Amino acid sequence: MSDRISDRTLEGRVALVTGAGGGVGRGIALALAAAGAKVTIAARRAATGEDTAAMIRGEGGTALALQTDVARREDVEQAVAHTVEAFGGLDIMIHNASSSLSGHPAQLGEITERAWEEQLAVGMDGSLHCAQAAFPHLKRSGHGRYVGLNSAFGLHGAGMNPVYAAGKGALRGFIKSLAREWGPHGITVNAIAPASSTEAADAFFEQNPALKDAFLRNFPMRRMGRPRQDIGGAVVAVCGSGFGYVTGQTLFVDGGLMTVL
Amino acid sequence: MTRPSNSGHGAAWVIDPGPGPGARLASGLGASGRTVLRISGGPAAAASDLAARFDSRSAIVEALRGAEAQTGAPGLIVYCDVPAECLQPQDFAAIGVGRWHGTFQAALRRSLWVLQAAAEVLAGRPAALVMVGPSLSLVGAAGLVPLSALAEGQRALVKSAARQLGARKLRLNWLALSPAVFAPQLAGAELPQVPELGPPPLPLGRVPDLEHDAAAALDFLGSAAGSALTGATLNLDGGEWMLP
Repeated sequence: MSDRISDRTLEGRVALVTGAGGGVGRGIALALAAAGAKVTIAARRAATGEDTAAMIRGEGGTALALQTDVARREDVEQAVAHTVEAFGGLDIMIHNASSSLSGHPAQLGEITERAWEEQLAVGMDGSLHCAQAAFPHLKRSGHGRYVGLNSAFGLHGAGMNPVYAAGKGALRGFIKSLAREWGPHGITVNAIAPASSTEAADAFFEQNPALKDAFLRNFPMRRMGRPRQDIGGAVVAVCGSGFGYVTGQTLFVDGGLMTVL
Repeated sequence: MTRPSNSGHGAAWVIDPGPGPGARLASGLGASGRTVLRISGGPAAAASDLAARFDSRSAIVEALRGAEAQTGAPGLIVYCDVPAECLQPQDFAAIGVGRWHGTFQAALRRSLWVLQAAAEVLAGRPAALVMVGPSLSLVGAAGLVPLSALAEGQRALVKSAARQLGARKLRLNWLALSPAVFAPQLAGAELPQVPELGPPPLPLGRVPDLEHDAAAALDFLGSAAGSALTGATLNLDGGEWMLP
């Protein structure tokens, strides 16, 4: 069976994905494009964004790469404006970007102002910028979708990085209230909390195969999610017509790891 | 209402940087037999309140050291930080970056400073810290994105700190109160209803109050009876939601 999502459920839709220069963001962008959406790749580093756009074009899709720092309001506004100009509208906004510091462990007493500011700027200032810039276009769309990338750490806290957890917890509150506010406009607002394989995790487990086996025993599916097929596939579903009556939710796309709710 | 004395569990500090239910919680905690000190950045409700600055971690450390000089080591620290600006409904599209930073971001960062300062001042001595917030963040509310983002961010911060600081004998929990406690116009989120069956009854027949119910719950969380609880959320709603 092909790993590609062949159903073009998003034909004619326009999506913008932040942090799409690699990892989960790239997987989501590829999945959206394969489902028929025209996709803007918003990435802080121009070269990685261009790489993702080239991959989409290589598969016959339509993509635009824009260098974007989501912590800068003007960057996000320009990215949305360019998207609308190029593709004629915006139906789907995916805020996936996160700070590179989010993977750094920190004890509470040692959290620096810089670490706090950078992670909250990308995560929560980015959420404000992305949602506000997209709002008039999502409203006009008739099937607007806003999706924020969250984490189980936002639900159960993180002993390794309290800043990351606080930002992701805040995102849960953001999503719930925004869903209630934007529901009357026909816009759904949801979060995806993935457990995805990453290059860093893959490298670690390659060096520590026994730890990998123990770790994966926590997952009913016994594997980490694949950025495109598993995480991207769920995002495509949430952005499709079948999920038009689902809003304010955090969907755990994690192979069954978080069954607590 | 008389509660068992917890005077042997150390003083209670009620920290509230701005207006809110801090004064009433402090008043209610007085019934526990503890020495209670309110550490406030807002108007003093009593001459004994300790005025403090909350504009940096070091300022908060200084305030807590001053509090300890007055009361001795605390057994219970209650922290309530919901800026008045967050309680005013506003269209999300109209929220400027300045308001976003000045309310949600500033209060969440202040929450971090308070947790850092408490851990620093306690230095491994046993205590319980309870952060108090509005229960509407659990369900969300239109027009109140900064408020629910703040409260859920605080809740995740408390959980994370609880994971780190348990080994240092500091327990941290979150107490959800009716949003009407913070602003009357925010009276509870609507429960899902079956229209033809009418509104569901209040399980306890009353809405919990601050001076008795909330103070008693805080007292419990700071007592030996609550010694196995950390990182928990207690929704003090009289059984309205019954979730999770």
